[in-house]
Amino acid sequence: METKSSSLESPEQRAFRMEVRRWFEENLPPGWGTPVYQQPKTDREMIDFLRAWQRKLYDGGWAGLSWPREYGGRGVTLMEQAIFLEERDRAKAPLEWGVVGIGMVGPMLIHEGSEQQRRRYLQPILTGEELWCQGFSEPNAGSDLAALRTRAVRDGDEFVISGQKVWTSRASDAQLMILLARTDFEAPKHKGITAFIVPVDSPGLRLVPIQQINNTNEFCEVFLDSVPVPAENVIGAVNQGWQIALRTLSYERVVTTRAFEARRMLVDLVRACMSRPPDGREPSISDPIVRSQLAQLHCEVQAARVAYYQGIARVMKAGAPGPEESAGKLHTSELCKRIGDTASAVLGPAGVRGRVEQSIGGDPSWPYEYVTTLKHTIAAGTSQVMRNILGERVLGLPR
Amino acid sequence: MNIEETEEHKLLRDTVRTLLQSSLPVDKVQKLVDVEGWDDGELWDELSAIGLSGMLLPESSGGGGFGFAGLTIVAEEIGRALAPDAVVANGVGTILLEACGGAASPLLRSVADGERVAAALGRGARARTTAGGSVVSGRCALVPEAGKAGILVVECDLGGGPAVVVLRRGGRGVMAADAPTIDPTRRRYDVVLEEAEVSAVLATGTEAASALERARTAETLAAAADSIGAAQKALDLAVEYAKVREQFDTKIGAFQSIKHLLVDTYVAVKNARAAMLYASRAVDAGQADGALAVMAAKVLAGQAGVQAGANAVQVLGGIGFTKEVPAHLYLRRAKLNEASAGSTIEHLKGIGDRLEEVLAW
Repeated sequence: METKSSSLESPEQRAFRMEVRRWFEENLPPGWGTPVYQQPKTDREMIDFLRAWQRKLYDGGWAGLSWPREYGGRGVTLMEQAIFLEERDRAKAPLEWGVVGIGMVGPMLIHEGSEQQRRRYLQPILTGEELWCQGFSEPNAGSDLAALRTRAVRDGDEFVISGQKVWTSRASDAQLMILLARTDFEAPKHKGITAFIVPVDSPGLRLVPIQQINNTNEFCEVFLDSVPVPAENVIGAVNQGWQIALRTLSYERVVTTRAFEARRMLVDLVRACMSRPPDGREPSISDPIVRSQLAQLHCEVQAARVAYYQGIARVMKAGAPGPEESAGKLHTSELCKRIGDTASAVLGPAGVRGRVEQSIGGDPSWPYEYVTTLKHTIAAGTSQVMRNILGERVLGLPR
Repeated sequence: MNIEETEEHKLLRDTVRTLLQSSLPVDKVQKLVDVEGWDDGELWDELSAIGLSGMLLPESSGGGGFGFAGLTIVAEEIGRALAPDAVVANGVGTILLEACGGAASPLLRSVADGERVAAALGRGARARTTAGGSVVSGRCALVPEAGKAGILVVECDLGGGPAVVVLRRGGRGVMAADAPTIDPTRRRYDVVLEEAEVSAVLATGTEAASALERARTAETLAAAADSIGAAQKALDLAVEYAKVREQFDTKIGAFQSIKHLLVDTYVAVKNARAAMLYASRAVDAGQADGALAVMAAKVLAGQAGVQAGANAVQVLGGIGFTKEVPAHLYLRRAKLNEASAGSTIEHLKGIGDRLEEVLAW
């Protein structure tokens, strides 16, 4: 069927989109996106598969699209990257191996890192050789991230770090961690924080996996007991970590958009509503109330998608994401949750059948999809924090 | 995706906004809505003088060639100003005439000379052919401009198919009665036709269907844009109030219950506007997804308009329920838009019947 994605695109953008689409068609495993596809069985096999996929992306020239060419990227604009993300979700291709590295650490090092750091760390992120995790949140510093207490004390050529991190995704598979720690204990809480690169196999660093409600084991608690980190592993300047983290998070909120995921989920849901249930009842799409609910979701998906491209144009013009882009994060994460929530209402039993376990490349498992969307409105800033940011920094309301 | 405004679009927006700000500041609207039989003649003359009514026509027909993008810009500005929408209604009428082809040329010339035109869409009337020509009977509800326009273009049924016919105001059997609505800023009329004499049949069959589709698209986009303009002003009003109003020794905008309410409104308006911009440009570009995009824009704009208006009344509290402030006018404006040019439910039904198009990705 003729694509609707081409709308109002330049011939160059259209050609780029088609190139991406063709590449996914030719490079995803056979049977991908159909019930025939058998996904990797064990956690280990899944990790190997995702890592190999990242390598394939890199070899195809699709990793780090907007990163400079000299660091292994493709050097194209955020607009091409947006088109790539939409095509990725259309193909239901796996997310890049390590969104922390690609979405956060990479841009952070490109903008704030030393030349030596860029040369050392950027390329292995894109090839999938090195996975990064994010040591930001702590038991008492979640939404109020600047309240973090992990301490880094200078000792000659190194810093010695002690404290505890939590919700550290994929720490047990990662080689490196981007970590925020307090380096000035007298300064106001936003001003005494520094960003560090910490190897996960450092002495004194201990990981404890945490079970997540969607039955993935990505989360870890991280305990740091006098972990030595060379001073050259500081990103940017000492005590500038908060500013660096904010800028990085603002990029993360743009790159990890859920606008296209929402579109993919809705397409899957409409398709599921069109298929006849095994018990022979009419497909639920024949019900006008179901159609009306799907139609409302379509309106929201349409707006999310257009607003995302508008935002990309705005970011390109301004040179960096502004607080306005938090609106997309807020809307699209809530929207994914609503679509997941609607599945059980419109599909009935088919919307709740199956285990809550990660599925890729086959038919969607609605229980897994729905439970997973609950994460979206918490990670990278809860919806409530997004509303505070938007209220204060965009609408100008008092704190 | 390129949906940004061109320099010409910006100039058009600035021109309309500046004119409306000086001719019709909001406090003037607040007073005028309570004046019985208030007439928009002065504003019509001013807006006509800058050539707005003809701007939607292609340049080949002597228009400005601004297309649907131009229509939505004007409609959004008119909504912001809570202004009478005669110029938009005439724009829709002109689009319908233009879409009917050569038969409408003499009428388009009259319009270019300043005659007003109203379009009554919705096939509320039925025409039949008699020995002396055609006559049409029926009712068309809440038609803009019908009490003012010399030319009335009516969608009707003719022998089981669609037709577009022209009637003259004041002609035999043509009645247009004032119809009060929830929105006091704009006038609407119920048109009652009793064996009314048709002065011309402009189009029938598929030709009529496609002309009517174009006019309906214009009417729908204009209603969406009007709501978005009004919604933005309602939001601005509420935000400004929340920044200065103090209770419990605190600016009320610092309370998260107020802050988050306003942010949700902001997101809804932002999204509706994105959908509306896309839809107008998609239709101008002849995109296959234009029709679906127009419906989505209308749904979101209808909802965002009411949300913004109602939340403005709420955030302003007691004063919001008085005529001291225009919060209620933005809400009422949005309500009429929500119900016009296809209600929210009608458009959701329209999308729901075409969900296979959602799969085309």
